[in-house]
Amino acid sequence: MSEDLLFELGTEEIPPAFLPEVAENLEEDLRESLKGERLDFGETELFYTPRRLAVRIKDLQERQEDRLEKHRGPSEGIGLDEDGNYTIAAKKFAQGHGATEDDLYLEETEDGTYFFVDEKVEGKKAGELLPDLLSSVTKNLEQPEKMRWDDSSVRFIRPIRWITCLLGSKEVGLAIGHVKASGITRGHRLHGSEQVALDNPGQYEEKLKGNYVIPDPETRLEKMEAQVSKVTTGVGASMASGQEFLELLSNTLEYPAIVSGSFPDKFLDLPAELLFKTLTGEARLIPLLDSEGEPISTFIGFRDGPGDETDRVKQGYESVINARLRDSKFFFSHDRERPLDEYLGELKSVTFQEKLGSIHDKVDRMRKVAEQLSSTLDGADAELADRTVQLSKADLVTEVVDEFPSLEGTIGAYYAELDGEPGEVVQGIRQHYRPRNTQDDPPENKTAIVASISDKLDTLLGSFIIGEEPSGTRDPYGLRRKTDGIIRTLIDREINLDISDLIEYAGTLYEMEGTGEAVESLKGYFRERLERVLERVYDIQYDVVNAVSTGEGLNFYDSYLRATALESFKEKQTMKNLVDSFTRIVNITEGREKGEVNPEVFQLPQEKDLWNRITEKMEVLEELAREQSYGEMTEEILDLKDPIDEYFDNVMVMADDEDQRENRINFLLNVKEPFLKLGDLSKIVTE
Amino acid sequence: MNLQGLIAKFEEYWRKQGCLVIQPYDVETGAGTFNPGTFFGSLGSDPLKVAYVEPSRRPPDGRYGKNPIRVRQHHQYQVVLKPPPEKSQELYLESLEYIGIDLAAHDVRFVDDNWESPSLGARGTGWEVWIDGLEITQFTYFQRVGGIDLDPVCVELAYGLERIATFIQDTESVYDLDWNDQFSYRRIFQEKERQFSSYNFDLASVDDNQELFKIAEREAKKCLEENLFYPAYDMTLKAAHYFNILLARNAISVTEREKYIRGIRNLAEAVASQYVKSLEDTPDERRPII
Repeated sequence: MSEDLLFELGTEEIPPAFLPEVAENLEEDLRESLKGERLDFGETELFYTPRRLAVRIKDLQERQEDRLEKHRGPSEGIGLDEDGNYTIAAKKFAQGHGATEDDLYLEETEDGTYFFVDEKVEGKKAGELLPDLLSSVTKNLEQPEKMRWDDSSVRFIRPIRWITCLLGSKEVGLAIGHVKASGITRGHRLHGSEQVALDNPGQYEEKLKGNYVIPDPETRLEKMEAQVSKVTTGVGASMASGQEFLELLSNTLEYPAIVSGSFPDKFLDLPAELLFKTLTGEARLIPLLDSEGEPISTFIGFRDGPGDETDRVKQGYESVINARLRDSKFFFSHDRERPLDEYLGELKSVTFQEKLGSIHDKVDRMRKVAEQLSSTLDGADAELADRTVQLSKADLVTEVVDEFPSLEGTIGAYYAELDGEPGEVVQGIRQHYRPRNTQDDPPENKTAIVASISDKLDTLLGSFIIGEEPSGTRDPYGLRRKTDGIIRTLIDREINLDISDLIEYAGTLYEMEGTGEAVESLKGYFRERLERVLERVYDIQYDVVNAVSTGEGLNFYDSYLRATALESFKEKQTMKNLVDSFTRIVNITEGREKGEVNPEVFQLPQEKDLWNRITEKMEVLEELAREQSYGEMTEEILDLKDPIDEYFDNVMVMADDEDQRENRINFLLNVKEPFLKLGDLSKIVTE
Repeated sequence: MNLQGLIAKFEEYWRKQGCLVIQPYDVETGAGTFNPGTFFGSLGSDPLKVAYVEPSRRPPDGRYGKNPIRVRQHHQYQVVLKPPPEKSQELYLESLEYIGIDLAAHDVRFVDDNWESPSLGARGTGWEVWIDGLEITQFTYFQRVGGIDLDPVCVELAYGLERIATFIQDTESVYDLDWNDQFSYRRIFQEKERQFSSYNFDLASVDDNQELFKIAEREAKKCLEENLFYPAYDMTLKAAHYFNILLARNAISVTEREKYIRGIRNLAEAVASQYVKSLEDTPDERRPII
């Protein structure tokens, strides 16, 4: 026997950014809890709107199966008296588990022979288990924030105002804080009924739909998409904001109805990002683009409720966005009363970090790092890079960035362009925060790369000096992301740079105690992150990662090239042989210093042969290593497989004769050299 | 409906809900939250419903009377309910219908916006309430005030009276609002906006206001030493006001800003803790409620 279960938590508006996560946690925890209680069920369905989280569980087993629970009792010696009769202890034990002495049986255990009894535990009904189960799942639900709203001790993301819980057609009696569950849900706050009685879980969507609530998030989103395309296809427009924003909006609505309006054309002169940000951020409206990709003065918004008589709503949104855009325009024009570089002085009063000085101080340091970096970077123009870095933070004291912090960099670039700064500088300012997250691309042009690395490196080193390095999950300054950002930039933009030199140089710019240790520990941190980035971003297997991340230098691009080369050979049989030979060489030469090889004393043809092959190849290998053609280099080394095998099959390295032994070990240390250019091959796992 | 009618209507509604209706505070405040009705009213465990109008001064928001929606001083209608009734949201929405807004004809949203006042050591969880995209109220479940975790918590409704009036009277500019049927908002406030903006942005002496801040802070501390937390609170409000003028004068760097805020918060937290302590020591019939 089984029945469907519906569990709905009615809440005050849950923030859209948290809603899906909280709902999914609820579904997951509920499933786990039911499994923990040994109650079988079929599929589960999840519903959510800003005002409700609901899970419907199909075919929930009516009661737990009966089962036998095995208990250990007294030992044989204590359970039986001298005559072999059951003692009182044995009888009591049996009774204690609802059995008689006849049910007792003996079993060997590690500690001796003991009496056991199998107790019959009757399965409980789902209806009896659910109240505690649901209440404890709710109270223990993992959520990004929790609050209190009355004098009960319940804490939840937002106030719980009603609970609907039906098992089949029966209400499940349950209370959380002051709220008691019933079979009655609520419709839309303004357009639906406050009491929507359900006869069974299956009616949930249908009954709610009649009360202006679409509880299924996908259905809601599809409805919005259909409404949007009705408006956009007519005029050949498209949404300027992405699908994610539409999804976010869908989580602010119970019953979406499109409202399309417009704003005065004069605001189209604003920088597109500022225009979009004003619409999306301040009013949750969707900006549109024409078929050429240019912004148009039509916007899309949604009303929560029926789609009729939305004229007044539209007027309201138009007047609000008009006022907001007027504000944005005011900030923009005010900012433009003077050129960007006149803002630089004000950076002195903006704290970067209390112990690390102002943003102005930071920019001074960045400029020096940038100078150093551009001198080693092909194609970087030191002057343009310096200008980029100098202006990169100026927009932090503009009114637009004060109002819209996420436009940092973007607005600075606009202003630089209007000031007539070179295109490289404009792009450099625009891109220097990149990559902002794991999905974001690293900067592209050279000045942006220089500015981006200088900026991130300065923050990293400064934070390490004041003891704010990331530990465990604690990373308040987003240093992990900045470190990964530098690594990805150097790899994706194919830049050969040993970052250790730059870190050491940056260290000299901080005249603070503990800089030396910070430099070293930052290098270690880069090495650690390189391994994670190669594995997670570039899909390199962990053993190959281990093989290439050894060595002193921190040239991420070179490590990446070696890793991809090795990775491409990894599945081949020859690779296995190579790794085996290498491991043999490593083992036999462990702890030895390389010395001169004397070919005069070779005794066996295999020695001579391998030596000739190696010396022959050495030049090519070195050339390939210089070119970082690690694929070809690997091929060349694979060529050596046969002579190496021959060598090991015939030559006794640990010869009795000391001179021979020394010479052979030196020989192998020389053979090892070219392998090491690729990495520590002994780390590679082969089947 | 004109603005004074609107205020009367809110007052009537909340009086019917059993609120203690008090008056605006006579020391400068930046928001209704600073009125003792909310600051002290949210602390302590005695149930309380309180409502009042609060003229709220925010010097940095001034625009010389030239911006149609931004003003240096606006009016809040403030309601605090402790503990929050189960139907807090419904009571609030009903109040909007009570002043004549047909909610079903509009788009009403609770848009997440948690509130924090670092200078009061206070924070809460809540929303901006939007009507057709226009923010008209802050609706917040206070969790902490004066550094003290509230028990029970309370809910604060801070209606933006100018916003609501603009919506009802359908005007583009606050200055076009009717305060009553005879006088417009312009004739009561526009010149004041111009003069105060001029003073706050251009004329106010930075040195003297810094000095005034220090004096207020000193006086507050002196009162706290004598356990006179009410006068100490007035001095705290004055310090906060001078701080706001310094902000408008653009005379405070980001680092200093933190220091000022910390100074005000320290006072507010000391006041709150003395107040709560005094409640424990006072018999029921004499125990203050705000």
